[in-house]
Amino acid sequence: MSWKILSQISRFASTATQNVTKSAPKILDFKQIPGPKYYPILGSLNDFIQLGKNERLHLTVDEMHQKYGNIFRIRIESIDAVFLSSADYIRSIFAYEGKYPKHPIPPAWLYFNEKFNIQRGLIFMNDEEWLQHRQIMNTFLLKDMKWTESLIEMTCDNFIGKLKRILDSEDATVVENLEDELYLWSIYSILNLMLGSSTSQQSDREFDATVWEFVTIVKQIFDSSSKLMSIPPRFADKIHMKVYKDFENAAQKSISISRRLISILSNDMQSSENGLLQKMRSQHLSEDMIVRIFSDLIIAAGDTTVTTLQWMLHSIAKDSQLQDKLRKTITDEPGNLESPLIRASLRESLRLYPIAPFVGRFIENDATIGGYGIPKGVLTIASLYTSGRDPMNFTDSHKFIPDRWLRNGDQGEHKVFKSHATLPFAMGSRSCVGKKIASYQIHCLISKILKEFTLESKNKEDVNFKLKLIGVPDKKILIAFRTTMPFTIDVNVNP
Amino acid sequence: MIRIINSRIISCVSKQLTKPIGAQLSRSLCTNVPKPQKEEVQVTFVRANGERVQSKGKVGDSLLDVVVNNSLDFDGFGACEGTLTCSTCHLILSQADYDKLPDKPSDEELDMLDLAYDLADTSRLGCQICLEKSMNGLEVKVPATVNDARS
Repeated sequence: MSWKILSQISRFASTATQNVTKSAPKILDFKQIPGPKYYPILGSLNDFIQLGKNERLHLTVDEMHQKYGNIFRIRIESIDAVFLSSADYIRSIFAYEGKYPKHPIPPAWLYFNEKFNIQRGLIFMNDEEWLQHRQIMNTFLLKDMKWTESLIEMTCDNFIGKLKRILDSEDATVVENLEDELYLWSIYSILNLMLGSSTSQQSDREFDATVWEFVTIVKQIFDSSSKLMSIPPRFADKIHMKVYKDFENAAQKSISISRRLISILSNDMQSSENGLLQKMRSQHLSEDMIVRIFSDLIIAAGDTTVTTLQWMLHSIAKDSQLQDKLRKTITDEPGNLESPLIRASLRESLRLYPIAPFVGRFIENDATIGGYGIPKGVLTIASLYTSGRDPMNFTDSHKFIPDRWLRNGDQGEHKVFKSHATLPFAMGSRSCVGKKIASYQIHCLISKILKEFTLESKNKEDVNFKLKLIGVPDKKILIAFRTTMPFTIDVNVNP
Repeated sequence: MIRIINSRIISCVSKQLTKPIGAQLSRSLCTNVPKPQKEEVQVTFVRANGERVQSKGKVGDSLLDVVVNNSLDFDGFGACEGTLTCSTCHLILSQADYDKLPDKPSDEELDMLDLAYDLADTSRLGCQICLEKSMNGLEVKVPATVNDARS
């Protein structure tokens, strides 16, 4: 009895001391966070002066981190924003994001939706509407993934077949339009997943032309909306700027083409129960909602997957030793493409080239990050380009070393101690809904490419990271594909 | 309700998919549709402040299901609902219980555990541990979250 009382007292005492030690460090005021000065008289010109050209925003922010430290404050378009580059601070963003995390959206996109009163998919939804639809999509895209594997593998086989035909017909080793081919692969992957079987067996010229048109439009949306980043869209629209008109046209077309594609998939093709289209219908989503979610999905997935693949292929093509090692990890077993080294290469690629280098959340409740009080509603942004390349977080931080992510030992440790310094898919309930599908697509395509080809980078100059809404290569990626084994029998490829 | 059961099965099944076939077979015993006699397993959650929360779940439930189904109020627990995209259902087991678990954590789980606060050698994600009859009386620690640290 007395022991029990004693233990309770000591427990009470220990919580009491904990409370004392916790309340001891003084929380500094939000206004004390360092950062560039804001001149109210300049209004939105501040953004332009301070943040400069959009395509080098990651570098401007990186310079500010060097100057002000791993937390700094800046006003962007009358919004208080805090940029964070320490691994621990970045993790805090997601700890404070609340039940319905809210993320920033390019102003041009928001303006466009508002102007035409267009309801969109998961990217633009908030609160209960978002959660309800996100939960449905979680079931198909993140929980039970088995249904996607053979569809993805089939689309990758088609790509390899096409690559071989291009190389044969052009009698060349460098594929001139690699990016376009990857775009097509990416869009067809999503269409095949929607249908649950191969669209290529049922498609006609018109369908393929529509897909190609879609590729062009998706590229235009990113091109024009990145140019609009430093101009308020309402203003750009009012004075009839061409860049706004281009964006508006592309955005409108993307929605009408999504509708057309869904209608072809629904009416002219045999869709399978195994496809996303029927899975979504089984959850009683309306046709309109399916189009909304589909068009957002394809905009979010298309270029991000393609760009990540380009960065990864580029890094692998430059390292022949790594290629040999990777090739040894690839098995012939269908349905078993798991290669820890390919997985590690993808992580490493996204660490150095985080295609979405700024992941932001509007803080749900008052928070404390880095000793500063952050009032609710403030936009907190993870500077992933800076944190991923910070030597404090990664040894040889500027080198592409997939090995650092390989796990060994009983506890499965790897050599990285601050893996939360690279969160390319974000984390938590609003993290990338396509993370697992995209990872499998990339995993699958890389392993199939390496099985068939030896890669060699033909870029003579360094290829650098440039922002065009997402982080793209500033030069065309040039890779020579040479058949690894000249006498292999062609895999069964559907035309 | 059907949705809850469904998601529970899926969360356990999807985990199996990354396992070798042998492991999948033995595992499927715990994830099949509940048998007529639903066996209950006692679980005690110990909060960071020492408070003990007694609870129970059925064989085949994940520890995340136990928290959700019993409406246990652990701040922010299970934010991603078992999709392996967060680490908020982080739990710390005793060494003996940890060693007894039939499956080692998958790489995907380890990736998320890397992001957890107060990580220990015997940390696991609650969404990845499915209850078995032999786990009756299991005791797990719920580490302090960032929200606890703030208040």
